[in-house]
Amino acid sequence: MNRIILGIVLLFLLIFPVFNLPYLNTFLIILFMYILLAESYDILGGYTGYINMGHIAFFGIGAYTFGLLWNTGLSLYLSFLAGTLAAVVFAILISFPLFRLQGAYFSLAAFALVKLMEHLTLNLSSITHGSDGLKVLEGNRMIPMYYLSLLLVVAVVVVSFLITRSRFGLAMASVREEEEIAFDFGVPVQRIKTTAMVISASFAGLMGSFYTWYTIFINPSMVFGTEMALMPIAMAMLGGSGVIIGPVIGAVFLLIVEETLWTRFAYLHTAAYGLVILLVGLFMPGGLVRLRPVRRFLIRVGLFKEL
Amino acid sequence: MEIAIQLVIAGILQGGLYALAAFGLSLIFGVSNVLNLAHGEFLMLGGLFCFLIFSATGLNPFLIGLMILPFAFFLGYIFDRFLMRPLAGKKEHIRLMSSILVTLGAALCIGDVTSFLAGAEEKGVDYSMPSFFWGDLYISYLRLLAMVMIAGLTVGIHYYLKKTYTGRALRATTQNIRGAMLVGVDTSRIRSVTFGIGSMLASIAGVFYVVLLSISPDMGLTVTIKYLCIIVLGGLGSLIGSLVGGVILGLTESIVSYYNPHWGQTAAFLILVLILLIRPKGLFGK
Amino acid sequence: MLEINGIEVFYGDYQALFGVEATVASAEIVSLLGANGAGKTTTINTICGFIRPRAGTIHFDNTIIHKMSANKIVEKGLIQIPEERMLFPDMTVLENLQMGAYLGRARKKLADSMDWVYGLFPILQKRQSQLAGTLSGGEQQMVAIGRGLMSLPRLLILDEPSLGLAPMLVAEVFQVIQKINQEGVAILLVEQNVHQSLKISNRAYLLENGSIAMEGRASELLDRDYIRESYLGI
Repeated sequence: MNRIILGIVLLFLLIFPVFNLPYLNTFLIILFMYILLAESYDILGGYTGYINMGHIAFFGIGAYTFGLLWNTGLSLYLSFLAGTLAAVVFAILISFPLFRLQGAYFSLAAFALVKLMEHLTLNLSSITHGSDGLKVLEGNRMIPMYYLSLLLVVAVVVVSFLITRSRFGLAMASVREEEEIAFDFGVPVQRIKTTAMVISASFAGLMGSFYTWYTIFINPSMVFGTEMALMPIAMAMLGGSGVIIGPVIGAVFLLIVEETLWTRFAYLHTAAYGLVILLVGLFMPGGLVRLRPVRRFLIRVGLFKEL
Repeated sequence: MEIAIQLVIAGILQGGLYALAAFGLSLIFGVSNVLNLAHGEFLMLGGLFCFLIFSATGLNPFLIGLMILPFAFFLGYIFDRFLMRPLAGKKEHIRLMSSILVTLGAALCIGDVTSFLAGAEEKGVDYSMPSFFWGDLYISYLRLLAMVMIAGLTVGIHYYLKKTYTGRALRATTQNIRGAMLVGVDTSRIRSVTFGIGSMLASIAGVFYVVLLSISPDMGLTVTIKYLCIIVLGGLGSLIGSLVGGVILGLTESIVSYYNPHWGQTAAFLILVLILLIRPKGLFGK
Repeated sequence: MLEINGIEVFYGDYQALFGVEATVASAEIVSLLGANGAGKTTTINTICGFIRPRAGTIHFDNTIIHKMSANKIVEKGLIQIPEERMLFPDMTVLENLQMGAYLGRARKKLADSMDWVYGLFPILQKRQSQLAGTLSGGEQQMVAIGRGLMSLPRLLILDEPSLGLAPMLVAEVFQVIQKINQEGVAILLVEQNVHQSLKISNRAYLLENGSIAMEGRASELLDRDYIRESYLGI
């Protein structure tokens, strides 16, 4: 059942550009980006329980690294690779100090890193052009970007699926539930957390590179801004953190809500958007997918894979 | 030398202001384990109402600040009562996530409604007091007054927490919630009261903001993040921690900004990250 | 004074208590005995309002308390001294004791009860400005009992008061419990130290697998073969 559904959805998405609907195509690219960010956030946040409010830093670092290197004339593929690697290296570097922190300390210190990156990119204007932003070579990249981001979304979902079925995933869950006990039982806690962060960062970094390549122009607030940082996390939590399909549903839901509100209401769309997030948090703790009817449906079609 | 002293004074004032708002946030976190992302909105609302009443009546803005305190308390109280209390019984991890969603949603909502109703532009109260020279030092009465008030408030909070029964109950709830219940503390009420106090402190800080600096409806999340950083820097739940954390950040900003205005904020975050690397639980955390 | 009628308690689908019935009369010492996991702590947490029973009633002084919040139950004079002590680690001994007298009724008699507590545990007076978190285990237990007494209990529930204490201190704790009882405070004692607690109790209940397996006068239970074999190891 689940294979049929996923197959149909995937097939539809694969042939979608044929219909030549630029508006929806753009919408889907943005949607893929958010799904990827939410899902890759959840590899760390949902499975190990470390709420990484600094996830967007990986995205931004990927975006800037790609942009800067590609502008120097480096080949496209090497630039993508460099963007990803930069995010991974950053993840490894910060994982050692950050994972000494727990709970809210971890979340906030990670968030402070995003703000630090935002201010650094603003101020190191000789390299990053500061608030003027960074421009890269123009070109019409709608279709390749569509497929690249779709591919990446599929990849992150598959990776999440493989994680939930592996011993590694089990170890992550043990960190989330009872870190100290897991440590006493010989789970290499630090290595598990660092690995999770590296996987999570590599996807975000690559997506950051794609994003620069696609939008042609980035500035610090586009990639490191407060709302940009919080949205993927809100999406993952809203959809259902720790369930593979949760962040996907959260991203689809929130982006459709946002798009609808923006086109229907001239004023107060942010307020309405905030209200939706608030109500979900208040009445659906655990996210949309854990609502009883939704959950039952997802279990029946075999899409409720939880760690 | 005069410049150095001026900078230090400015930095301490800025830091005291930070500490004031940050401490409310820290209390809330201590008592209810909630990262209140809507805290900055309370600050903004305090400043905004001060601005509106000042524009209409021309009263002394600090007096207005005093008048709106009960309303600020009430706002914080009902915020907890209706938005936070339903989450109280949930599992730790779920509660942390739900509270992030609820307070983030509330922050977006309050900010946008405010900018719709009151206009999105920056607002400031144009209220001045004479200045004087003390030797070569240029001192503004307004800043001096603000400093004295902040110091007074800090001492006041300290005694409130040490000496009053409610203040002690608040600390008791932070240290061992089950223990607090066992001596008869109504911990749900204490949580709401703490939100009320947090909102009051934020609104006072908002009044200082609108008089000394300026406010705008979309400032909320930005300042909240800054205060969250300060309480992490100082150690969650510690009054002295918030104060020292605030002053360190304020001093860094004012001194670095003097040499290069753009780098003030950057340096502040850099210091924050560096301190956390050395002391993962903050300067005064346990 | 305390009447527990057929309470059933569940954790999710797992049933922890099966129709537990027990009473404590005023000025009595009653022991609640049983092995680890028999449901002792669940029983007292239900009495104190931390857990809601799915069925059954609990009355204290003829008022229903199983629907009250924990702090309201404390207000009625039913005080628990938990096994984990649950002190306020960053407060001084004095502040911890003062917190015991948080509620209005106890606040008025603060000075008298302070004298009472310092009379029972003179060492606490010497330690009064020390932070509770820095005390030894035995001293922490004294603060916990002292804090409970500051609330002016009419019924005091003690959960494993002798756990983890040196033998000398255990004897002292049992003496103190008797002294408290002589002041007219009813006591419900939850203990694994069966012999000692039966010796100071009037009556006792034995919990096994979530229900009362045996009850009676403490002196009788001490003589029963089953208790002697399974719990006293004689």
